[in-house]
Amino acid sequence: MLYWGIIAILGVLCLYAFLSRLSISRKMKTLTEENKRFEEQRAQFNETFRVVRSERHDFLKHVSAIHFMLENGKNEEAKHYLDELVEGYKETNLSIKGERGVIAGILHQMYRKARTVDIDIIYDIDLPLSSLPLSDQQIISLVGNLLSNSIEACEEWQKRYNKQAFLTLQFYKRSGLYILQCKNSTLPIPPSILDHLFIRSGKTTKGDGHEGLGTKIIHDIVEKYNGFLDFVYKDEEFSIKIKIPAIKI
Amino acid sequence: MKVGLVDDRIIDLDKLKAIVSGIQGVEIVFSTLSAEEAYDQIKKEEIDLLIADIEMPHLSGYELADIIHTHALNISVIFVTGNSGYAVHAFELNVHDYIMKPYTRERLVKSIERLLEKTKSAEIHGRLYLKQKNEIHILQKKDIIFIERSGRSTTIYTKTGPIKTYQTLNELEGELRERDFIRSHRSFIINIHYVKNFSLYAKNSYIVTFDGIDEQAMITKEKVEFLQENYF
Repeated sequence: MLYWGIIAILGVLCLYAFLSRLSISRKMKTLTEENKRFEEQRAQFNETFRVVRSERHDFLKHVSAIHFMLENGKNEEAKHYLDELVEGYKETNLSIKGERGVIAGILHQMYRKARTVDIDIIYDIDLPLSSLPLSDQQIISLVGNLLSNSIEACEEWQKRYNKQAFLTLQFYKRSGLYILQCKNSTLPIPPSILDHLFIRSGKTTKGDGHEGLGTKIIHDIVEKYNGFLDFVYKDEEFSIKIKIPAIKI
Repeated sequence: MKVGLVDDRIIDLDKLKAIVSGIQGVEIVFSTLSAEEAYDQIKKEEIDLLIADIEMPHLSGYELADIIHTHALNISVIFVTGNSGYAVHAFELNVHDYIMKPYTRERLVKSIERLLEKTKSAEIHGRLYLKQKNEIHILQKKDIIFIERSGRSTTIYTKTGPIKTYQTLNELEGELRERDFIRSHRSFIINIHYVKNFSLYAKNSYIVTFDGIDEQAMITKEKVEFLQENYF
């Protein structure tokens, strides 16, 4: 009897040890993933900071260069120089205006990524994305997933048609609702995928190694904040609209 | 959306006209070669959007945008220009878009569509007639911010102050059939146009704050969902 008792207790202990190991390893996994995400964000953040710092660093040089041209009567050249300079500033200004550091980081990184592959990308942002009543982490997940999906779709479209694809990100506020809209060129999306988009992970048009997780993450964030998500696919154009109520906590 | 066009080059103006007139929901109110004429039109404040060239004799597009900005007129601006040197000013003036010549039809259409998307709200017209004992009160519907029922009377909060009436919310709801008025709660009708924020009140309701006044209203969770599903 005592013998069976000991065996039973040992059994329970083993089971307990096994279960706690399992939960620890699960926790470890999420922590490692989170850590990876933070690393990526830090890299984006540093990159944006580097760009802004270098712009600032070169500012005086540009001013003296223009000054020199003007003093020597080279007005046309000075004008041209200024135009190019402004173009560069415009690009950075779009992403950092009013935003918190990490969010400026992701916006700027995505903008550059799109420009490198020659996508016609437009940010039409009325107020900073940072004003969304979400944590930085979640804004980054939301915007990052939206933009990276759109950029990939644009790239595929460009490859097929050899033409410039477009991507626009709009953000504005109406009647106590934040409205985030992302539109882009896309190759036709099969109905089997459209039907489950933003509902289930695992459905993807992408090749192996993709889990179709991005859309699920977007959906979960929107749901958590009592928001509303709607998307339309029409004539090789995909448009997603997200509304999140401006709830003060 | 009502649009005004100004470009001192006839060929550029014709291009603008041809593109803009083809967009649904857009009406060209004026199209002119003269910036001065555009200025006179702007003062009337009859347009929602001005599409202007920047470099024009006597009065530049930049100056026109500056007038709109300093007088806080409710007019959006798109610059269409051959010169990128003004982009810096465009940041300051909150210009909707800055399009470089030569541009494609698509580029301008997309820009206007983006603006249409944002400004998609119907203007409320008409008046509300309130019967008070032996007088009739007339107020512009668009000035109503929200209406609250408390006890046996109803208070209508407007841009110019509150007005008391004995009409019930159901009666008023019948008068205010416009889409922008919603019965947000048993005791409230709100004009969504003025809503600024929500804050959690109880499990199933929120407090609504408005632009322009300190008074607050209530909205149920279902109505917030209704707002999200059916508007914008």
